[in-house]
Amino acid sequence: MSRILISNVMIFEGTEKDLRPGEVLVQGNRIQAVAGPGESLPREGAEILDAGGATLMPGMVNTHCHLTYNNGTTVAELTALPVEEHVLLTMHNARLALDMGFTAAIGAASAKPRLDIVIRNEINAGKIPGPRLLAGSPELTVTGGLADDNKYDQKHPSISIICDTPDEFRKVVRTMIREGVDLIKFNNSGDSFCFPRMAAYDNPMTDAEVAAICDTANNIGKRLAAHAHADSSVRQCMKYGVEFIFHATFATDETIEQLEKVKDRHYVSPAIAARYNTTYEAKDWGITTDVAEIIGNKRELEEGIKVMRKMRAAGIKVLPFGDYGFAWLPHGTEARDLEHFVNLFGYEPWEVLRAATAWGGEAWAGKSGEKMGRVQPGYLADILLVDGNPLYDLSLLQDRHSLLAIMKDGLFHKPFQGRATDMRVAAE
Amino acid sequence: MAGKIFVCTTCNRYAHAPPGEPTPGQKLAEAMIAIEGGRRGPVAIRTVVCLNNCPKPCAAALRQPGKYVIRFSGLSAGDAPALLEIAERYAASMDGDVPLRDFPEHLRCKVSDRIPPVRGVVPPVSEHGLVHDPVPALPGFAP
Ligand code: FES
Ligand SMILES: [Zn+2]
Repeated sequence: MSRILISNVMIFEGTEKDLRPGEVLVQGNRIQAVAGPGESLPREGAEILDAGGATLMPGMVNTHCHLTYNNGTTVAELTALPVEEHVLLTMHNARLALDMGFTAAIGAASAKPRLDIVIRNEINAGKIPGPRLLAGSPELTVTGGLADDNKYDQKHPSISIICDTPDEFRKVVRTMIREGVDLIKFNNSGDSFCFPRMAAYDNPMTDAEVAAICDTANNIGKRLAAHAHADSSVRQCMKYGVEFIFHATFATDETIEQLEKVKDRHYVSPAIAARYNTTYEAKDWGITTDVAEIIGNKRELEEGIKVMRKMRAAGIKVLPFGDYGFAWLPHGTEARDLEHFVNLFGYEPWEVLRAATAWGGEAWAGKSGEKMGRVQPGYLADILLVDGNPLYDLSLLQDRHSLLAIMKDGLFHKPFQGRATDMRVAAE
Repeated sequence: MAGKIFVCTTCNRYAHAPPGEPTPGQKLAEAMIAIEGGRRGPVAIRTVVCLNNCPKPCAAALRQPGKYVIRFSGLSAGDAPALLEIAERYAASMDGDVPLRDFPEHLRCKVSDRIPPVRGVVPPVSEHGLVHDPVPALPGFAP
């Protein structure tokens, strides 16, 4: 079994406020040992890599990832290409995600039913590069809900499967599980992205429909995620055991209090770039801030900011990234979310990095018992070497040149590039 | 003086450069890197995948927690010196609201946005009393 000793690093462990000098031994696909300040690890039989004082941190985990989105400008456009091209596009996006330091991702809705599934299978087989991937279903929605882009006399494909009634949902959930998804995603809220059809604070799904989706998926041990802006949607997520609550924009104080009591069972993913970037940085595609206000996106941003600050205070696990793959929040820019968490929600850099790594890893692993997202013995060797201290400047993680090495499952996706200026940081 | 600037090296997303040729965005970034003597010169250069100005390439942006966001579009490699100059002014300013008259003249019409920081958010101060994002002049770590 291969042994690589990465020495002369400053370690971000995943949950700690500071970096500490040390070294890390990787054996096979796991971290075998970690030495702290003043300690050193046995070197016998190990290839030694002197990282020149770089930061060693866990790979990032995108827990709300749409690898199949094509940087389109509308929801329907996200799937407006033939399936052959779409497979290739998803494959390229998977590689880009790993190139940008994401060693794991949770598929939070696939634009076509089997795209996430086939790409996950190819990644797992080692045939194409990409993050560890959980495959998501398309968005399960109701007639008229987010991602039903049909008109009465005009069929228009979108990224959804449309169901009405609990029986229809049950059948589709079982079909998707048969095809191989790891996670079922459903839309129990509208969104500014389907203006004027259904607003984010409206919930079109009945309790019976949500119960049918969740019971069917939970019975077979599949994971669940919901597009849940509205307060009643967040409530449904708690009631029916939906682990991943996306957006939670209009959660009331009472709902936040309820969620705090069960915070070990849920992760919240605001996907705030789909609000901030749309409100302030999409005017070249016709969405000025005024337009964003009219369609309700600006309000979603403002309410989302208030709610996420409260959730942070309540210790609820709010996770970064999410919904990248639109024109003004394209693939490859996901690490900007770290900046958004600091600027908009008041997170300290170490806190948002903890959410991006340790909490993301825990979320990905779920009940499997797998250990990922931290630099600790026994954890999967998903590791980044960074040219500088991300706790001082998170924007390092937006620039692929700062990622000096990317290791996934004990193997280098990007071999160590060397530092511009070597530094000796290990305690002597 | 020190600072930081984001430059999009994909530009132009909607018109691919001929194979093997650097994109216009890469040419802009390379011009800046040449002036600064590297990516980690006094003004740190962050080359990124996109700055959401794609229909009007090339793009650069000034961003720091708690400050105005200033975005530029329609840039070319010739704008590198002026951009670096304004990056230093931006870094030295309290809130990033650098008045347009302080911009090198030919850059003024390339400012595409000035977005105020979201109200009520104070950039976090770590337990060591250090404000996030001081942009150290040299690569390195906490004292
Ligand atoms: S591709 Fe350069 S700004 Fe988007
Ligand atoms: Zn999403």
